[in-house]
Amino acid sequence: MLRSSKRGQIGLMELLMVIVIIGIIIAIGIYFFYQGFIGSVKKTGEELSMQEREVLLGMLGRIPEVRCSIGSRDENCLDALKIINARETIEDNKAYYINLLGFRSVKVELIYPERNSKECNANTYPDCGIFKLYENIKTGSENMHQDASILVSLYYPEQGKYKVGKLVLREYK
Amino acid sequence: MFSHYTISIDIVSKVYIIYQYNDDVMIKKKGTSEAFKYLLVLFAGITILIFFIRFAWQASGLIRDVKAVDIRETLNDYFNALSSAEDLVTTANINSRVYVNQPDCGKISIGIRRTISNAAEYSHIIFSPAILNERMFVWTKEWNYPFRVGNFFYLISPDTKIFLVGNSKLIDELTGIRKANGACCENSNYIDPRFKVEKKYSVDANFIRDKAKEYNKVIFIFFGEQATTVTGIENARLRSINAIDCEDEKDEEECRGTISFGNNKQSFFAGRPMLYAAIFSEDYQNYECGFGMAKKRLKLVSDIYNGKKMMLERLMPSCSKYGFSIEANYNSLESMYGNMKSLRQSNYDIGGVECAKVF
Repeated sequence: MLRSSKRGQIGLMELLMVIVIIGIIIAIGIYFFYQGFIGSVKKTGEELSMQEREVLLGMLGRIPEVRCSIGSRDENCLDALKIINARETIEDNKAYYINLLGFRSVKVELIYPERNSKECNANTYPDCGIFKLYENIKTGSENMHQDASILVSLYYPEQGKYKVGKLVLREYK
Repeated sequence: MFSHYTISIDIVSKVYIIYQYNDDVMIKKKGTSEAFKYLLVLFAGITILIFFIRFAWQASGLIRDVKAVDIRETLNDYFNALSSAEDLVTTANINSRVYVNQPDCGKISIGIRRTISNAAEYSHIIFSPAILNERMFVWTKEWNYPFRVGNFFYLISPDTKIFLVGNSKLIDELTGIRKANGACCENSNYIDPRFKVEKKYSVDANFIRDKAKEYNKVIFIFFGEQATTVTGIENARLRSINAIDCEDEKDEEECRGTISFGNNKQSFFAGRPMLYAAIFSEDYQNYECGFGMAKKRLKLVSDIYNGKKMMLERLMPSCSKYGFSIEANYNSLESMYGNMKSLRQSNYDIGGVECAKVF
């Protein structure tokens, strides 16, 4: 009787071992499946993010909020006075612009004929060189970002002059 | 052989089978009986099966969600990229269903198989049917009032037909009617042929019923006349438009008028791009949603120009032409149109070396 009982227990152990091994194999399978899947989702996310960054950068230079217009005709430049006023409007209507820009910041830096690190606003203009347009920094991601930039023509309407600037789009991870 | 037997199962799952041979009772205790093994295997099998079904279900849901986000973001990028175009028609293959303004105005959802993804907010001004399937035509056109405010997007399914009912120069221009010499639509802002817009002098209820059977969706726009009353046709949309100064020789901003969607639902349009919006909208709700977003953008851009005007006033004190105010006024067609005209004139009047134009 004792021998039969032992044999039964061994049988039970065997069965449990088989179940555990099957469980481990399934777990490993799921782990690799998810690794692969998450990897592919990350890749898609990065591709979409890069695509979006490039599209946004191209688009930002042409939105009515900042683009030069002379007699209802758009010109291929950014209006310095419009950028200063757009900053305030965007800040007041942040919910609207978050849909478009998300966790990013957008600014224009004056690079030619002179650089100037002073931030532009209604009081410092035109003796300034950093035009901040939008800022929505993700908490904890201040140092985790990717930048994209293009050169733009910056128009000072009261002087009738064009200067060279750099439109910088910073995306927070 | 067996007179009788009993099986007892205790709570720790040990099974004892007691065989009774005539007078002899033999108790054969199997440490773990075959029956228990079967039960255990059955239980484990069912558990694993349930796990796999659940896993497959969740994985399929996750893949679907990722695909929906992918489509939605690509569509958003697509609109962003097109939003800087002045006037452009293109075709978009979306390989899924797009629900515009569902569940609320300003939201887009993607339908894959039988499920609809979580809606995402968008800020583009879209006039379209409520549901677009697989493929759509996209037309984007900028709206100036009097300065550039933003782009309108008109989306339409290839299986939609539009009839412009009436006989006017405007309808000829919109549909691109050929002249007797064969030349088509010289200097005319006619609607792209892909949008299947056709002119009809008049239509009756039978014609509407016939066309409703022929096309998946059919829109009848009655120009300058009351829309024919036809009930019980689900896929036909009827509305009437009264347009003023919309012909090609006039400025686009001059074009204005009223739209009646039936059931006492009326609205107005300001600018030629908004006339197109009245034509391509699915219904009153879709039109009002797009119109509301257009007004919002008009307000934002007006605020920026007003700020710019005030700064110019300060930076150029010798110029005395900045005494006007730039405010978005869109309570009625008259106030919106009047405001636009006065702004345009005020800006036009700014001149000379001591002044810079606001827009």
